[in-house]
Amino acid sequence: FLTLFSPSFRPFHVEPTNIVSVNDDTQRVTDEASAMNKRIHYYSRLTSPADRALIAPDHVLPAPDEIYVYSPLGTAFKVDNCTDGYGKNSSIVTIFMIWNTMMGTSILSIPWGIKQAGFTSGIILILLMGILTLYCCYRVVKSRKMIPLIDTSNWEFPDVCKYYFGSFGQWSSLLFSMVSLVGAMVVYWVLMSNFLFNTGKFIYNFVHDINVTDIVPGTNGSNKVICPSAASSHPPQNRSVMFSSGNNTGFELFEEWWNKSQTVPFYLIAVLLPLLNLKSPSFFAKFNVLGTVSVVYLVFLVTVKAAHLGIHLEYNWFTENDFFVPEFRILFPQLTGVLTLAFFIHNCVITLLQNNRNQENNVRDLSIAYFLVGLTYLYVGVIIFASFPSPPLSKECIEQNFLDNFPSDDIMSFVARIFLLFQMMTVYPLLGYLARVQLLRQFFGNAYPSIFHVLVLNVAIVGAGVAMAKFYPNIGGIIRYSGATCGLAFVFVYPSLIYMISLHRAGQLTWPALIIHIFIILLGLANLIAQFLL
Amino acid sequence: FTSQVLLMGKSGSGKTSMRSIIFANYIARDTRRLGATIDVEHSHVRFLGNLVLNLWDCGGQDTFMENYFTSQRDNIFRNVEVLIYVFDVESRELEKDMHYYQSCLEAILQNSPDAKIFCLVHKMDLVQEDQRDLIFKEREEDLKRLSRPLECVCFRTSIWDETLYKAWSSIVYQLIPNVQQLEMNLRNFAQIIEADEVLLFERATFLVISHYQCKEQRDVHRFEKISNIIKQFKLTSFQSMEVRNSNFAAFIDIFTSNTYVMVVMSDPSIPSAATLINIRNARKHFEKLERVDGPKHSLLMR
Repeated sequence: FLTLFSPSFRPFHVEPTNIVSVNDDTQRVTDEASAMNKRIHYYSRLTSPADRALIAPDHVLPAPDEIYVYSPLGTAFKVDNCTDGYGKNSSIVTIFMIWNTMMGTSILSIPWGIKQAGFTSGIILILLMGILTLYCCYRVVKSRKMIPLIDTSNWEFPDVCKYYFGSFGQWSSLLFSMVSLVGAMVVYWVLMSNFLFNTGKFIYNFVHDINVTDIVPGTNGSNKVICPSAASSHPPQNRSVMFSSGNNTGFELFEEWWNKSQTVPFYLIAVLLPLLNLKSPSFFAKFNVLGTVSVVYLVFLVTVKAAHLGIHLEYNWFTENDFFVPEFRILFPQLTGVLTLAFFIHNCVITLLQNNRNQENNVRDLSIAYFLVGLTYLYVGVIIFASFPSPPLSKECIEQNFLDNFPSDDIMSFVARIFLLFQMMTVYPLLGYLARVQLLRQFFGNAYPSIFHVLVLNVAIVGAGVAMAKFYPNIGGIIRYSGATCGLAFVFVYPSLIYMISLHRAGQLTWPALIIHIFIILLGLANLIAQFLL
Repeated sequence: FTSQVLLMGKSGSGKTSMRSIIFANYIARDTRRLGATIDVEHSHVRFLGNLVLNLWDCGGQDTFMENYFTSQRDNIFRNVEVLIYVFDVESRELEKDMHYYQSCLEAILQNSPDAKIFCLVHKMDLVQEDQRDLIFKEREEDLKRLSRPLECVCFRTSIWDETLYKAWSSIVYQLIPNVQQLEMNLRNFAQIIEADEVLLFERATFLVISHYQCKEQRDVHRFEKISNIIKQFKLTSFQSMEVRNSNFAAFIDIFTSNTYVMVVMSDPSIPSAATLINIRNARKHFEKLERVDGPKHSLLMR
């Protein structure tokens, strides 16, 4: 009668990629690749191994996927694929890559953050947050190893979340990833508008040989430091007074058409919106080095300025006076919010460490990288804060972007702004590409469904940036809100929760571990809530 | 008195590999080393009832082969149902290729004027992706022009993507008699047994002859993939197969003398026995459909 199985039946294993499950999760392998796999499998049965007739030539095999890594306010770049599993980067290169990815525009807000938290508590918080985020990063790196029986060698952290929390894990990690990306892109837009404005103003003043004195409080002398926010409380508005005989009306026309919040954010659209629509941003990944140059130059700038301005520190522990802030302030959560994003690399640390030649040094190298990042932030923050000329100006004057404390005709900060402007212009399309790929692939299964979809997404993101630049250009605020939000998921909750669950499944959960990690989760929650309350 | 399908083309254009892939034969490497395929023994590749597939190298051989070919011409081109002519897209001797093609057509016109002609522009993977449409259109125009008064249908193919499978599926589809009626019966059968998808495969090649699906399926490459997977089993000989998991059950079984059927049920709670009984009953009905037209008629498309 009907034999159900042929006599030589052996169980035939079908790879999970080929089973379409009911809830239709996104597949790890494209249909074309799967079809090609079956084809090659079949053809290999048709000839003897020595025969070369049906061996797939190189040009038909699908190219390996491009992998990009990014840190929200740092850099984004393309990771070179290593064909034999593990990478060839020495420890120094890995440490540098982690440092380079993390370091970015959040460095501009650290002095303000220290000011908000108080000098002493600011330093302590930078150290503590560095250690805390490092520990959570360590948990992220170790999370794959605790999954039994599955080959997790090409998983990233969102895949681990999906394993533990199902599609909720997948969707929530997408959501928080989007928050970090869009938050970063908004900050970039605000900063780019700022830098473009100041650059344009500098060039205009230089070309027309105008000697400008802004009616804002500032120090006298050659190393001028200004206090822009104090001017807004004075009756005359923040307009400059011209000290040279020139064309008055020309200058006013310029000021009308070149305005930091009203017009310049819109001019950027013409340059950046087309770039966002490009299919592949790998061209921009080549400009990665600008990020490093910018940070090194900032450190240099800070050192030179401090050398000229000297140190102005006074220790008032809890009281406030006209020029100084207390050492411990109730506003310290604002610093922790900024630091959450400043120390954020949890979404791609696995990929970065994957290329380390000696995998057993991963934890050591990660710790060294975090130490160096913390040191850089600490240096810049402390030096700016300490050298801020307090007798004429108050420490409260430190701006959310410390370059704003230097007038637009200051050459060193002009150069810094140009570097940062170019660097951000090259990272912006990369971040846009990553946001687009993650979002559109999740919803439409395809990274570029049509120009219409992509355009709508890009207009939305650019619109958010322009709106923020116009109405709420406070990068410290944007950074701390988005940092605390996406940090809640990727830094505090997921790593700790996953660790506790995996220990529980292995039957190794102890009371100390449970308490410590619940405490970490509560810290993350408190971090987020405090942003809104304080 | 069997009808034949001729697979012809210049030596090295890929016919032997094509036959091996479509018909799941081991490649006989020796013929390649001789420089020409001499299919003097009829290959035992039969399909669609009484069709036999014969391969011939046409053009480009040495004088000995040329003479042999010319003297045997009438034998070679007699009782041809289908001529499939393979062109290597990378060939540098387009004029010569066309010349040999035309002489084959002359022989067809003399000996089997009712044959259907198919031209495959092969090895398209060697052409850059953005050039493929253009180059194929050029070749197609030339071939259609040169084939007059006969009509030819052109396909572009490569063994490294789904185009080869699709081209042969189209060719086989056009050789099935009363294919619309077959499809209608298949649809009725599928709806009666509440299957998600029912496929009818040609027995020798596992090319999909006809299919019915009741909803959108995600993977457009599934036909070729199934064919490739099953042909691997065919190499070790099998008769029927059942695959199931918590979401579906699929049954592959011999159906009629020329076909296999594959039934996909998304309700795995229906017992296998029930589906297999349904398939067995349907088998009788479909056999009758095929027999009505008789073995000879099953190959003519008038």
